[in-house]
Amino acid sequence: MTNLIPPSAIFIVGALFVPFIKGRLKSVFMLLLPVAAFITLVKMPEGKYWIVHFLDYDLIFGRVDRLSMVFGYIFTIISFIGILFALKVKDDLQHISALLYAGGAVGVSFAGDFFSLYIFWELLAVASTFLILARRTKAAQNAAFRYILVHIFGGLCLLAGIIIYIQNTGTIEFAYIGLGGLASWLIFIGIALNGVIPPLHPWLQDAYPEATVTGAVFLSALTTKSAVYLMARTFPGTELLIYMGVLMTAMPIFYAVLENDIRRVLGYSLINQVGFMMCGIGIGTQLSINGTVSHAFCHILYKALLFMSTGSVLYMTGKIRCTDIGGLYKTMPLTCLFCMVGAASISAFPLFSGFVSKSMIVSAASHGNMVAVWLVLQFASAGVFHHAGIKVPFFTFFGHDSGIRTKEPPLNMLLAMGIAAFLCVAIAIFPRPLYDILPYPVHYVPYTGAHVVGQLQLLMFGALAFCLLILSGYYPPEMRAINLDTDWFYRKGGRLFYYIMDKALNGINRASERVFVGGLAGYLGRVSRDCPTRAALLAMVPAWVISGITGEKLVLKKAGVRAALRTGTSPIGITAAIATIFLVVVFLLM
Amino acid sequence: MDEEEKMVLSHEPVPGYKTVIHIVMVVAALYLAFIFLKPYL
Repeated sequence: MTNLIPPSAIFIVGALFVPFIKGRLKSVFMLLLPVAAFITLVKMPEGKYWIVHFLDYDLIFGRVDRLSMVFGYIFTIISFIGILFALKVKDDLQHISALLYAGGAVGVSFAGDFFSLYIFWELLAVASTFLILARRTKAAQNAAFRYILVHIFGGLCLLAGIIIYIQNTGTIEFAYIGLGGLASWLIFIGIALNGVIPPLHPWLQDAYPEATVTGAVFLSALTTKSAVYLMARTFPGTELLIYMGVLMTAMPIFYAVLENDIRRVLGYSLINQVGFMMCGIGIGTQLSINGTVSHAFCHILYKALLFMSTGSVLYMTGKIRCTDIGGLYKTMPLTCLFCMVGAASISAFPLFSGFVSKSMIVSAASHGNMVAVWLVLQFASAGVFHHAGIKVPFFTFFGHDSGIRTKEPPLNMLLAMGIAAFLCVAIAIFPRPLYDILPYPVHYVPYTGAHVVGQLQLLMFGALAFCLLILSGYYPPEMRAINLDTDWFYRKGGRLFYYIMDKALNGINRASERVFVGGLAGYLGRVSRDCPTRAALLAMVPAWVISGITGEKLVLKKAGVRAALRTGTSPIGITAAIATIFLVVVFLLM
Repeated sequence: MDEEEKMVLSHEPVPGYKTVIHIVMVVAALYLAFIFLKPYL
C-alpha cells in the first residue's frame, strides 16, 4: 500500500507541472491525472494509510471505507470529464485551479483527521475562487469576493469547532459527531455553509453562474458534494437536517421560476438537489444514507452535464439569459440532446439516473412515516422537473427564436457531454454496479409498476402545469434582474451596515479630533503656557487686595506680572512666591 | 452589446387558456379538499 501515491497528491502535484508542459502533451498529461487517481482508488483496500506523525498527532491522509470510496470514485470521474471539457481552454490558471480543486475534494473524502481535513477544505475554497475570478469580468470579481468572504467565515467556524473538539476529546480523528455542544455546532455550521443549508446558501447562485464556462462544471460537482460527504460522515440521523433539507428542496423552486439566467436556474436546482441529500442524511436510515450517496453520485454527473450543455451555449453565443437565447436546437442539436438527457435525469424520469437514486430518499421518508416530509419531497420533485427539466432546455433550445445561428461546440466538449450523458442513462438502466459500491447493502428495487407509474404521473402533471401556465400567460415573464435571497443581508444589508459604520465610526473619529486634538490639546497648551502666571496671580491677587490695591491699579499690576513672566524678567519676590506655591503643592501631593 | 439585449420576455396568453387553467385549478382544489377531508367525513 505504501508504494501508492495518495490520489489527492496526484492532482495537487500534477497541477504544479501544468505550466511547464505545452501543446498536446499538456492535454494528455492533464487527462492522465484523474485516470491515475482512479486506478489508485481501485487498488486501495479499506483501511487507514499515509499516516504522518506531526506535532504529537497522527495525520491520516487515507481513511478508506465504503463511504469515502464512492465520493472518491465520482470526484475522479467528474474531474476527467471536466478536464476533457476544458481541454481547449488556453488558460493555465483555470487548469491549475481545477486540478487543485479536484485534489482538495478527493483529499476531503479520504481525510481521517481534522487537521488534514481542514487543509483540504480550505484548498477547496481557495482553488474554487480562482475558477470564478478566471472569468475576468467585473461581475465575476465581485461574486468571487463575496464567495471567498463567505467561505472564510465558514472555514473559521469549522476551525473554531475543530479546536474546541480536539481540546474536549484529545483526539484529532473524527467520525460521527452529532449535534450537542459548541464544538459540534461550529463544525456543523462550517459544513452547512458549503452544503448550502439555508440561510447560508445564497453564495451558490451568486457565484456559480459567474464562473468560467469550464469552471462551473467543477464547481457544480465538488464543493457541495464534499459537504454532503462530510455531513453523512459526521451528522447522520440529525433531525434538524430533515427540516433543513426539506426547506432546501422547496424554497429554490420559486426563485428558479423567476430567474432569467439559465446557469442561475441550475444553481437553484443544485440547492434543491442537495436538499434531497441533506434530508436523506437527516433521516439517517441505511436506505436514506444509501439514497443520499447514490443521489450525490448521479447528481454530480447530470448537474455537470447540464452545466456543460448550458456552458456550451454561453461559449458559442456569449449569452445565457432566457430573454436573449432560444431556438438553438436547430444549430446545436447534439448539445440540445445532451441537455435533454441531463434534464430528464435531474427530473428522475424512468430510465434516467435520478430515478434510481432520488426515489430511495423519498422511499426512506415514506418508510419512516414522515408524511409531511414525503409530500414536500414529492412537490419538490415536480418543481425540479418544472424548472430544471423543462425551463432550462425549453428556454435555451426551444421557446422563442432568438435569431442566433451558431454551431456545435468543439469536439472535446461534445465528447465530455457524451460521456456524462452515457453514464446518466447507463446507471439508470444498470443501477446494480452503483448499488454495489454504496455504504450499506442495497435491497431496493427502483423499477416497480407503482413507482414508474407514480413518477410518470407526477412528471406529466408537472409538464401540464408548465404548459397551462405558459399558454394562459400566468407564467412569470423572464426579466433581467437580480433576485435577492438571504444574500440581502450582505448585499443590501451589508451596504446599510457600511453606511452606518461609516457615519458612526467616522463621526466618532471627527468628534474625537475636535475634542482631543483641536480642543483639549489646545486648552492644555494654553493652560501650561499660562500656568506660572495664573499660579502667581492666584497667590498675589489676594495679597494685593488685602493691601488695598483694587480697580485699575490691580488690572495694571496683573498685566505687569503677565508681561514679566512671559519675558522671563519677573522680580525676585514673584519668583519666590511661585516657588512657595510649588512647594506647597508638592507637599500636599505627597 | 448589453443594451441591445432584451430586458423582458413576456408570455402572451393564448385565448381560451385562462378559462382552462381556472377550471383546472378549481377541479384540483376540490380533488385535494376531498382527499384531505375524507377521513373526517
